[in-house]
Amino acid sequence: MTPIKRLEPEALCARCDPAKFTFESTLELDDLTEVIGQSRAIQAIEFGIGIRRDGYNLFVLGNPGTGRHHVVHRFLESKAATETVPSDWCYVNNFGQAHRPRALKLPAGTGVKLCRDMEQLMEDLRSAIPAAFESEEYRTRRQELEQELKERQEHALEELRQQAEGHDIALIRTPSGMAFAPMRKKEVLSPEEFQRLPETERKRIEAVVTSLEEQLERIIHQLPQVRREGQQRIRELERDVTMSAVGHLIDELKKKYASLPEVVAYFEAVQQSVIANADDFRRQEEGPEISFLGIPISRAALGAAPLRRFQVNLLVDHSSTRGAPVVYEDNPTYQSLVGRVEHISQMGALVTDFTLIKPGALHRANGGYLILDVRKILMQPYAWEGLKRVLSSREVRIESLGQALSLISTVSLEPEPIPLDAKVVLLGERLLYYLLCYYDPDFGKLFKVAADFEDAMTRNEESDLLYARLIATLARNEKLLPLDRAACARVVEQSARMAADTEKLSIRLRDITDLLREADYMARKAGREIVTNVDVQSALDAKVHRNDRLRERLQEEIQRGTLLIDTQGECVGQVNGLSVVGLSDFIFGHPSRITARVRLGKGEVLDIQREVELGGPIHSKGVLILSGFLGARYAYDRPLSLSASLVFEQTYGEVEGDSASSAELYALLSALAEAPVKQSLAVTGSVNQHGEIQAIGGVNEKIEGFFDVCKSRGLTGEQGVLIPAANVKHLMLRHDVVEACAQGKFHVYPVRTADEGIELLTGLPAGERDANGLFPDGTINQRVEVKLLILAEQARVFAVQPEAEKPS
Amino acid sequence: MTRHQPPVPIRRILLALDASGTSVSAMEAAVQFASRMEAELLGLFVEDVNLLKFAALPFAREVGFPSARTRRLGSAEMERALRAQASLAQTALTAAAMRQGVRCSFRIVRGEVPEQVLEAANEVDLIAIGMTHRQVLRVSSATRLIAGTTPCPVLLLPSGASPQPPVLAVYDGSPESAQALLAAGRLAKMGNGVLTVLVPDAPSSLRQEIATQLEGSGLALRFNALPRMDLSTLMQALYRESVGTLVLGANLRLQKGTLDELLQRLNCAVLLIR
Repeated sequence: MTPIKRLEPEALCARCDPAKFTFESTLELDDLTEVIGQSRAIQAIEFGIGIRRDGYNLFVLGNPGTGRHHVVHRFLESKAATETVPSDWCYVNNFGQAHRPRALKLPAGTGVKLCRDMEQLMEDLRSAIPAAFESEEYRTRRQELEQELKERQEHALEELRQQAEGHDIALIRTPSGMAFAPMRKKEVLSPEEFQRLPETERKRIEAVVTSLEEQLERIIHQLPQVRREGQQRIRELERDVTMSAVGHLIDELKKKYASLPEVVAYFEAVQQSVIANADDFRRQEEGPEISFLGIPISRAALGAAPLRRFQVNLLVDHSSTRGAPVVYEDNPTYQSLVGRVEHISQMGALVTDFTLIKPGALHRANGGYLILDVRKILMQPYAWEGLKRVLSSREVRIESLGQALSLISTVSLEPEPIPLDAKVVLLGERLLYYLLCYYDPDFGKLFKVAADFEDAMTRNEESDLLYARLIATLARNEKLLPLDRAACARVVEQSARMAADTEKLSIRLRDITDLLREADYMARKAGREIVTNVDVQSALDAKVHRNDRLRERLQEEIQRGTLLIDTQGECVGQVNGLSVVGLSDFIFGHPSRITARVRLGKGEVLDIQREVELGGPIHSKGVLILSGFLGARYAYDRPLSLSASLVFEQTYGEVEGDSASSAELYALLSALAEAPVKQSLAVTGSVNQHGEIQAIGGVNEKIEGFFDVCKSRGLTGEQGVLIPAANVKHLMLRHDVVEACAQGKFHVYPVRTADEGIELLTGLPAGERDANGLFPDGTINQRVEVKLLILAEQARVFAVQPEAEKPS
Repeated sequence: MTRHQPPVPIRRILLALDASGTSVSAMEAAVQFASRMEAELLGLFVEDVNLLKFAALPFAREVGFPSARTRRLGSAEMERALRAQASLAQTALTAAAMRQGVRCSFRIVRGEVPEQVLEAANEVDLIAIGMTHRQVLRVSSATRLIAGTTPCPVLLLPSGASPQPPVLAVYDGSPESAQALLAAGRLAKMGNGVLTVLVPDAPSSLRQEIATQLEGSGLALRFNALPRMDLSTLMQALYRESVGTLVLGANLRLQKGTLDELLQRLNCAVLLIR
């Protein structure tokens, strides 16, 4: 087998050569107007914004920091600017059912005018109505009516009185009513005088009195009716007088708003209400302070209250809006989305009316776009359900949560729902998108367009320059110092490192912007007017230093021999594995000793990590694959009579991932072949059942972790790391590692198969089966096969029962 | 032009009460007036002999107001009713007087109402009469008789009215109207200090007379000229001024029946000066 060649320094980091940039500093670069690397998401956004159909709302998914907010805002704003300004919305009193305020749709800018016109109308009426009631005409007519009423009442009794007098009978007042008494010489006839009268006369008097009493009864019965009629006529007069004051004012307004039939109908209702409640306009505003139980009551609350119903509550005002609105709701609670009805305290009780209806984000965004963070909306109680209900019904209905959940039975207001024509754009992580798709049956119907933001873009010659322009734009937007081209190149390299790929560049703009800000700080601290690659490197180093307390402690303990890691010499059944530790967004690698012990057994490979439940499922899978590989390669025609135990030494937490499975295999092969493994090498990579080495993650951090251990002990020139060949394209190693490799002090080996790996580690050939199907003598594979054969034979011997013990 | 003597100070006020009933508000108004004048109040309840005579008739019945139910009446029932009414009136009047700190006495007499009141009028400086049910009934003949005969001033109190500002006097140059002017001036001074005087639309000498009469009173005078001194002109003027208390000379040169009609129609307190 051809020996594996170490990787050349060029392969260890895809450098960005500053020389290929033609500019001196980012000042010379134009702003980047297009969005780079997000063509799929951009197309989806364009489609989602363009299509005007129900349910085509957008979900913009991707990792935070990829510039989703910025891109979405930019696209929406440029699209919205070309669209028409949506209508204003007002709530006005419903004079028929006060608890159901009416919604009025008005052309943009008309809402403010209507508010002003109604205020003016009220002001006019406050003077016009009292003036009308002060007029000579009204006062005279009212006096006439009252007099007429009085006369009508008097008249009937007066006639009766005169009729009685004609018979010498007087109508007299008694303690509880009236009576008819026969008179003689202005005095009531005494009983004796009455008795002296002839009988016919007495009978006549009695008959007359009886008849008069009947008439009196009738008259008294009719009095209330007469009074009602009189009052009705007075009311009609008052209506006429009010109408004379209101009519022409309302007519003017009707003419002004003639093109809006709903508004005209509203004015009709206002007119009727003003006429029916003219007294509200006649009340004196001055007077002593009103108090109740010693508490002064605000005159504004009492006096103005009756006229509040003629106000216009301008819910959405687009008088100064250009284009369609783009609204971002940072705090999407249920009420901040659908609006709310506020209350004011009056005499200790909470009261409300239509003027206290407040708009929500959906009202403000109606006719345009509403941007929401899905995580925030899901964290607010009932906000998600509220949003879905609005989107499904296509109308915004303002209900308090108490009402919506039927917790409160005293319904205060039920404002007329407002039709919704807005596109909602949700921003969120991928996980949330997929969870919603899976668990929420409504989600797919309401958010049909997904715009998926990439984390990285493809890297090539042109992209580096494009990226430099992106850097220039971000620096300018953030008002940072310009970067020289070396600094730009360093940022591009760091971007590839963030993407962990030589062929990709990270487009997580937040991280790049943070780096630029920190480099700017370093440059200013050093008194420079331009950011150089030194500043970028200082910023990177400083960031690592801020976060690497744990890494340093691990390195220190390895150095001090607390954590046992050999970096020279040889040992059987012991391999340096590599693992990564992720802490927030800082990840680092460090070596772990992996050991294997073998003995006669029943073919099981014991993973100690798994036995003590410190191994994750993927780790366990890797170990089980080893058994498959061993059995198939070395013992396919006989029992695998082996018992092996594998362990990550000195690990005290859970181990997950299969990137150590190749290291475990090498330790096992070394133990079986009894071939010592070079401790100057460390290994990473997973293995499959055919012995092929497969790619793993965090390759850069793993190499650097082992390099740091070796470097602190002194580089011998023997040390290096075996990595899967498939990971070579991911190598973006630190400059000091690349430097050491260039000087031959450290090595990185790309490995394709387990055979290649074991050869490097043991210095012995792996061996391939010859024509007879046998491995050549002295090769690792032969030694393993022989060992397994011996174990199988021993197992067979142990399995055969001795003769003596056979039953007779 | 001589200045008239100031009116006799009002020390004792008679409130006339009878079976026709006096509203509580009229009693309150009389008590209030007595309090302002620092006068003593005498409640006089007259048990009308005519009513007792009537109740003794075999067919005596009354028609309830406003119930319109006809009830049989007998002497015993009438006696009881009159006693009850007197007792109620006495209780209400005493209570109101105590509240206002007015000295008050109450007397029950039996006889013809005008005669009894006129007789008692000799002991007092002013007679107050409450007027009820004016919406449906004309001012009673007894009231008219008292108002027309008594030598002392009469205060007529319709339901709900009390002698309060704005005060309005009618002046036609007669000595009574001059007395009325002075009485009105006194009332206005106790009120808002403004006195409105209705004067016939005649030479301005009348105004000069008024100014002289009220010289040094410190009152703000307003004049309202009347083209005619007839009922409708007076009524219109009074309505326009929203008058609280009207002060009149009892023998104002008016057409016959005009004063009766005024009393019938007005809703304010009326003080008739003789």
